[in-house]
Amino acid sequence: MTSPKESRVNAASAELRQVPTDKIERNPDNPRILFRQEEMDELLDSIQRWGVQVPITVYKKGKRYVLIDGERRWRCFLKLNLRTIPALVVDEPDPLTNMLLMFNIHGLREQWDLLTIALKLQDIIDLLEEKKGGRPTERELSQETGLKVGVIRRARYLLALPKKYHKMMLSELNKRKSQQVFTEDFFIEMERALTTVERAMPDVLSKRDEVRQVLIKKFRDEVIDNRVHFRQIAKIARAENVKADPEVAKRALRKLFSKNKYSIEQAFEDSVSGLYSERDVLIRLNGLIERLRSLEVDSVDDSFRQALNDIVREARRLLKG
Amino acid sequence: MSYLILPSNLHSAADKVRSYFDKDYGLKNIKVEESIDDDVNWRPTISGSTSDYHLVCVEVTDGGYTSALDNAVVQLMTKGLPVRLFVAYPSDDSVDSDKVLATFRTASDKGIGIVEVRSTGRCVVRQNAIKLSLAAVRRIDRPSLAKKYRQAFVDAEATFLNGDPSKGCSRVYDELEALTRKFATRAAKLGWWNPGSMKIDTGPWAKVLAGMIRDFSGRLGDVRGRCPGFELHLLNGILGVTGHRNDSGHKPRSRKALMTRDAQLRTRFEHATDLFVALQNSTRPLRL
Repeated sequence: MTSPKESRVNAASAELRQVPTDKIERNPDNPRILFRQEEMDELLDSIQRWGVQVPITVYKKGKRYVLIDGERRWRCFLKLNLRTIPALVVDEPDPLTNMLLMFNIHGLREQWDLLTIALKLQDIIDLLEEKKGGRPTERELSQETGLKVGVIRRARYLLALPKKYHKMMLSELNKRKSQQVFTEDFFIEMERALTTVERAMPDVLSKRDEVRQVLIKKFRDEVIDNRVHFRQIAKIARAENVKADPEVAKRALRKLFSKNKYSIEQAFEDSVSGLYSERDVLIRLNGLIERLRSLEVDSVDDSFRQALNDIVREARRLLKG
Repeated sequence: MSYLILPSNLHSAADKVRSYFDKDYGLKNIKVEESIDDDVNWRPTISGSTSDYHLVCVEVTDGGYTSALDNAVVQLMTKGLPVRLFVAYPSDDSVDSDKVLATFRTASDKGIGIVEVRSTGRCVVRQNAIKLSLAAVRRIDRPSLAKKYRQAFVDAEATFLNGDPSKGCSRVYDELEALTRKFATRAAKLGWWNPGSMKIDTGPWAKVLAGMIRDFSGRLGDVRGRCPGFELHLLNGILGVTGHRNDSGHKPRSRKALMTRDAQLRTRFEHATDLFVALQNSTRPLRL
């Protein structure tokens, strides 16, 4: 792997200068490709009031400069027709360092859209593989990019999607947060559920992309009204965990993946819902029994005694059946 | 076109706007995100020139009228650039049109035009833009005018702002001349001056004023007896603007000449209005 020393630009030789805004170019490897109007407006306002508080970072390439950090600030300077911008000018980094620098600088300071991270992650994986001669692990990727392992895992779900869905997400991401429907979270929840189905019941999911399109349509038509419901698909696929009949579960999933009006909640209800409820009650009962065993007789007051009597009565009724 | 600053979701709307202004306004030298003046801290999304040396700038946004844009408008007005500025917004589902339009009310008060870019690709001008070099003119203080004069001045102001500043000034001069002649007629009747053979209603306006100034200087006590606030220099001031009365000016042959002309007309409009209000106030006791 690259050592921190190797992947660092030479900070000692960095120089703070006023660089002409028109001589700066965006870095083609910047994972950030979305700049929303509202975010730009806020920064424009701030720069007009207070100026820029942190210099951007660039490296010199011929007679021009390439951005490493500060694209949004630079765009605002252009918009405000300001001729120069304070910039730290550093040595030109190698391609891998260039990308890792941007991940580390940006990832630690501000929230990027996950898709934009995902789209660049593959390049980093390839460059690291070339450098060390083997695929980097998630932990290694985390160390190099400064991203948490969970973020890398989520990014990989998005990366694995066909390109048409990337386009769809980008179009959504251009909208204001409140107006986004097919978000990164939607796709991650869906992909997680489908991956579980693929592992547990591979014969149900022979055409994964067709199923995606059915589920997307259901979400658009509000047959699925909450992306969290995708977690119930995974529960159906793991029917054997609650000793449910796998054939019933498969039937429900097949119907879910083909019938436009059939909701996830209905499929869950028709297959494994009762058994998961039973399992939940049993887990709670076991916890309760453990707790009761730890109590002394003289620590029980009247209301507690009353509740215990209610439990005994209900238990007897069920046992008689 | 390629945009560097504009968020990518607005590129398509900007292309439509550009094409609209190209075809419908005949803009020349269309530029994208380029400086229009070194002293103005703002690069419009689209800018171009008209054949009569005006600039048309369009800011494409889905975020409404921002303080950054407002600052730019103030700079444009201060600089006196002959700019017609429009804000253009896409009216599709991704934009909260009501919210955006609410912020545009401030914009339209300042003379900024509004263009709606429909998802069909059609551009609709919802409000036309006033040239900002004229929009900086001080607005007429309506309550300072007697009711019978208000409509005429409101019309003059509208004419001025809507792109015909010479005619707007001319309308104010009409009112000033008419009030001067009424005052001259009454003053002659009161024996404050002697017009001799001069026809007060139709004689040259400057000569009427010169006659009044000549005779009033010996009878200021009589004049002030009826009109306590009257000052002779007011008539001198009016005499000073009579030369502009029919001065429609030459057609400017450069942007610089256009800026100079607009600045002059702004001053003339404001000055003539001030003179009218002063004359109206100081002759109020005569109930002209």
